[in-house]
Amino acid sequence: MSNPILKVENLHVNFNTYAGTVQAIRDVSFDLNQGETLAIVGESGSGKSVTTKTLMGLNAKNALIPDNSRLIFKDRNLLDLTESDWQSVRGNEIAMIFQDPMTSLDPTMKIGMQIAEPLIKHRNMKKEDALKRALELMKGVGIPDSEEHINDYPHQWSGGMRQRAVVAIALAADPEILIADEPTTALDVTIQAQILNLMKTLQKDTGSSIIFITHDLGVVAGMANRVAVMYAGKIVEYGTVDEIFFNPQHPYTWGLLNSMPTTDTQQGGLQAIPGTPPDLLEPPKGDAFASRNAYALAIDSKEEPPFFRVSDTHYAATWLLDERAPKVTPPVKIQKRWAHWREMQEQESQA
Amino acid sequence: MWKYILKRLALLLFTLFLVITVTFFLMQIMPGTPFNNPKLTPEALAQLKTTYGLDLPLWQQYWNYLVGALHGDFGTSFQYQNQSVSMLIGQRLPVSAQLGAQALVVGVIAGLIMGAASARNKNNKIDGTLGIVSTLGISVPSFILGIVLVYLFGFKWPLFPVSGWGDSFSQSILPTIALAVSPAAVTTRFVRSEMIEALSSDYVQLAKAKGLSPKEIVNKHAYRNSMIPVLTLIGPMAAGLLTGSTLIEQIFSIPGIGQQFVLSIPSKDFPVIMGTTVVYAAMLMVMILITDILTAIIDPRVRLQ
Amino acid sequence: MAANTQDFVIVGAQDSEANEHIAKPALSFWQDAWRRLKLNKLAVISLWFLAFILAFAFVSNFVMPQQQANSFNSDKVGVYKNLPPKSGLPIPGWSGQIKAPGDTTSTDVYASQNVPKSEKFILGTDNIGRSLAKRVTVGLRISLLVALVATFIDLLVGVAYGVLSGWKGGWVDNVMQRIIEILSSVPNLIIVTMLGLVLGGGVLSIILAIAMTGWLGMARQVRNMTLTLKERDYVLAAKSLGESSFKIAIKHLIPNMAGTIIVQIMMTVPTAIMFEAVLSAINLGVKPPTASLGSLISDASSMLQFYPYQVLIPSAMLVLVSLAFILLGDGLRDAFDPRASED
Repeated sequence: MSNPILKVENLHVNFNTYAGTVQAIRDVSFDLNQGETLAIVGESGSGKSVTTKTLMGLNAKNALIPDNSRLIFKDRNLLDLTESDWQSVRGNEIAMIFQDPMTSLDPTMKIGMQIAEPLIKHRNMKKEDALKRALELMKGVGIPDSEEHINDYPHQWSGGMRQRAVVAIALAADPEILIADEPTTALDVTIQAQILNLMKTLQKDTGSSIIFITHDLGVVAGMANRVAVMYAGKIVEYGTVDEIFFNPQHPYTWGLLNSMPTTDTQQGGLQAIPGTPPDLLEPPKGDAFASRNAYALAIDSKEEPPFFRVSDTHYAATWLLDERAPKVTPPVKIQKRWAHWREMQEQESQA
Repeated sequence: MWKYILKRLALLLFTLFLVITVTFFLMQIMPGTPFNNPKLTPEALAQLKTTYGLDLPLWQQYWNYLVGALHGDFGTSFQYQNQSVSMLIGQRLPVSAQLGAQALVVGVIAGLIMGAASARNKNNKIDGTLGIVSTLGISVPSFILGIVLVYLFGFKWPLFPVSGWGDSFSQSILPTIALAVSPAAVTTRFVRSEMIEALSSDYVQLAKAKGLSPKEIVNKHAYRNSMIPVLTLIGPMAAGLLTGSTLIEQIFSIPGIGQQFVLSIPSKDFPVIMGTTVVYAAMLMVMILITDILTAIIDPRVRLQ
Repeated sequence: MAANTQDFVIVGAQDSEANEHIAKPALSFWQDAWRRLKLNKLAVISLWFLAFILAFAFVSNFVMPQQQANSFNSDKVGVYKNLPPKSGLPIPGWSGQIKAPGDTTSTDVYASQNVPKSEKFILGTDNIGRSLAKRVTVGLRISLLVALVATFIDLLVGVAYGVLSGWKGGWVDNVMQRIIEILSSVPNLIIVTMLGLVLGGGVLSIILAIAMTGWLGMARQVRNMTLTLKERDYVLAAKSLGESSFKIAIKHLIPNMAGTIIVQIMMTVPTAIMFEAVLSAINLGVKPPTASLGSLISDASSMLQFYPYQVLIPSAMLVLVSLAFILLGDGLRDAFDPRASED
C-alpha cells in the first residue's frame, strides 16, 4: 500500500469571479497508491469536481493555483506542465470517465472512431489498427455484437451502453490513473451496478489506479479501498473503506452515513444534515462544518482543527479527537457502526 | 426515405396549388387592369379580353389557368403582347439562379469561416470585430448595400461595372457581394453561437480529456457539430435572397426574373406577376426540401419519417 | 496551542435558518436581466438611442406636421433644388459644396443657385427643393409607425396563434403548424407584394401586408415555448387546480416566455422597416407626397451619381435604427438567458 503513483500536496484552487475569489479547494493533500481505488466523497460544492478537473488539467481559465500546490505524478509536478505536455498526459496516462453518457459522446461521430481516437493520438496507430483495437475494447466493456455496432452513432444506443463506450474511451490507451467523476449518477440503478462491476473487473485486469468521485457513499462501499471525505474544499476525514464506514470520527462523516439508506433503515430513519455548505467566497473561520454541526465545540469557530491520527491509515480533522475535548455520544446509528467495528477488530485479533 | 420525399413532394404540390389559387383570385379583385386605358374603344377592349380569355366565366378562367400551369403555361404577358409568361421567365430564370447561387455560396462560406473564427476567439478583439461586422451585416438591407456599392465602386472609385449581366464576370461581383452580405452575417452569428455551444459541451470536454489538441477538437468535433445546423438556415436565407435579388437586379440592371417582377407591378402585368409568384414559391420550397434531405443525409441524428 | 479548556465545550449547530441564506441578493428575473443588460455597453447605447429616436419621432408630430415637410414652393424649385448639406461650419463635405461627377473641383451650389445667404439646409434639399432634414424626420416617423404597428399586430396574432397551437396540441396543433409551413414556403416578398397590390398602397395597407408575414416567426417561437412550459410543474399544478386554459395562458405561459417574446419583437421591427423600404422600392409604398425612409431612398436612388447624400442620409437613418434594435435584441437575449452570463 505504500507505493503512491500520485501525490497531491497542499492543493489550492481559487477562481476569480466578478463577486470575488472563490476558494474552491483549500489545502488538499492525498496519495493515490498503485492499483487502488480511492473514493472522494462529498456533497455538491465540496470541491470534488474541481479536484478532478485539476488532476486532468482541465480547469477553467479563471482558475488560480498557487505555486506551492503540487501534483506529483511520475517524478514531475503536473501543475508545471505546458498545455501541449498535458495533451500527452490526458487520455494517455491519466484518463477520465465522465458523468453523463447522454451528452459525453460526440453525436456526429461513429462510436468506434470515438474509442479509437486516443489510440490514434497517443499510440500513433493507423486508423484501421486503432479501429481493430477499439473493437476489442468494445468487447471488453461488454457491448454485445460489437462488430455490428462499431459504426453506430451514439443516439442509437441506450444510456448504459453509451456509458460502456465512455469507459472504453477512457481505457483505450491503458491509463495508469483513471478518474471516474460520478460515473453512475446519471444511470438507472440496475445499470449502475453493471458499470461498477465492469470497472472493478477492468481494474483487476489492467492494474490501474482509480480515483472515484461520488456524492453517494453507498456506491463507495463495494468499489473503494480507501475513502476521503471532502467538505467545503477540504478533506475532513480519510481512511480505509472499513474505517470510514464503521469507525467514522468526523461529525460530517456521521451525517453522510446517517443520510444514506441502508437495509436496516427504519421508517423515518434517514437524517439529513441541516443547513447548506458554506459560501467559499468567504470561508468561515475555524471548522467550516461547525455551523451545521450538532457536536460543534466552541473552538471550532475559532481555530481550524488539524488532522488527528486515528490509526496509521485513518485521520480526521475534528477537535472532538483532541484530548481536551469532552467525550461525545454519536448518533445511535453511528454507535451501531462502532459496535460493528469493535466486533471486526476482535475477529481480526483472534484470527 | 423515399416515402418521406414523396410525402414532401405531395405537400409541395398542394402548397403550389394553394398559391396558384390564392394568387389567381387575388388578381381578380385587384384594382385596375392594364386595359383601363380611356383611349380604348369598347370594341377594342372586348377584342383584348377575348384574346386573354377574360370574357369567360371566372371558374373557366381558373380552370384554364390551372391546367395551363400544370403544363408550365402561365398565359401571355399583358405588357409584351406576344410573349408567353413562361418564355419571359424561362429566359430570365438562369440569370437570377446564377446570381442567387453565387451569393449563397459566397455568403455561406464566408459565414462559416468568420463564425468559426469568432467562436474560437470568443470575447477577444477578433470576436468583437466580427460581431460588429456581422450585426451590421444583418442590419443593412441588401438593396441599400447595393446602392452604397454602386456609389462607392461605380462612381467614386470606378473599379467594377455597375450594370448589365453576362458580358463579363466582373459585372456580377458587386451584385453578388450586395446579396451575399446578409447570408454571410446570418451564418456568422449562427455558427458562432453553435460553435460556442459545441465547445462548452460535454463531448468536447471528453475530447479534451482524450488529450486532443484544441485544433483537433475544433476540426474533428466542434466543426461538424456546428456546421450541420447551418443547413437549416439555407431555406430562410434563400427566401431572403429572393426578396433581395428583385431589388438588386433592379439596381444593377440585371435581366433576371426579379427585375421583371418589379417592372410588371406598376404596369399591372398580372400574368407575369402570377407566374413569377408560382416560380418563386416553387423555388423556395424545392430549396427547403433539398436542405432537409441533405440534413438527413449528413446528420446521423435526423431520420426522416 | 492558544486554545484553553473552556473552548472545548459543546455549543452545537448554530441556528440553521440563519445559515441557509442565499449568498447573492435575491433579484427578480427582471432585475437580474436588467443588471446583466447594463453590462452590455452596445445594448445600453442602443436603448438610449432608440428612446431618443422614439421620443424625437413623437415630439416631431407637434413641431413638424406632414404638410410642412411635403409642401414646396413651385416658383423657387430652381433656387432650392438639390442643395447639398450645409452645416454652416467649415467642415469638409458639409459646407454646401459638392463635386459634380467629372469635375475636379467642388462648387458651392448655394452660391450658384443664388440661395439667400442666411439660409442653409443641414441635410440638404431634394429635387424639388424640400428640406431633407424635414423629409427624413417625417419619413422616419412613418417608417417607425409602420414597423411598430405591424410588429404589434405580429405580437398579438403570433402569441395567440402560438399559445393556442402549442396548448391545444393534437390535431389542432397539427393543422395550425401545416398552415404555418405552407405560409412560410411562400416568399414573404410575394405575400407582401400581393397584399400591397390588393390593398392598393397607403400606410394602412403597408402595415397589414408586413404584419401578414411577420407573425409566422413569433407564432413558431411561442408555440415551442408553450410546448416546453406546459410540461412545467407550476402549469400542471394550475391545471389540476382547475384553472381555465385562458387564465393559465395569461398568468403562467405568457409571463414566462416574455423574454423570448421581447427578443423576437426586437428582431421583427428591423425586418418590418426593411420590408417597408422594399415595398417603396417596388412602387407599392407610401403614396407621394408622404415620405417614408424607404420612399426617400428609392425616389432619390436614380440620381445617386449626382446627389448621393439624398440616398445615403435616409439609408444611414434606416440602418442605424435597425442596428439599434438588433443590438438591443442581442443584449436582451443574453440578459434573459442566465446561462449566457459568466458568473
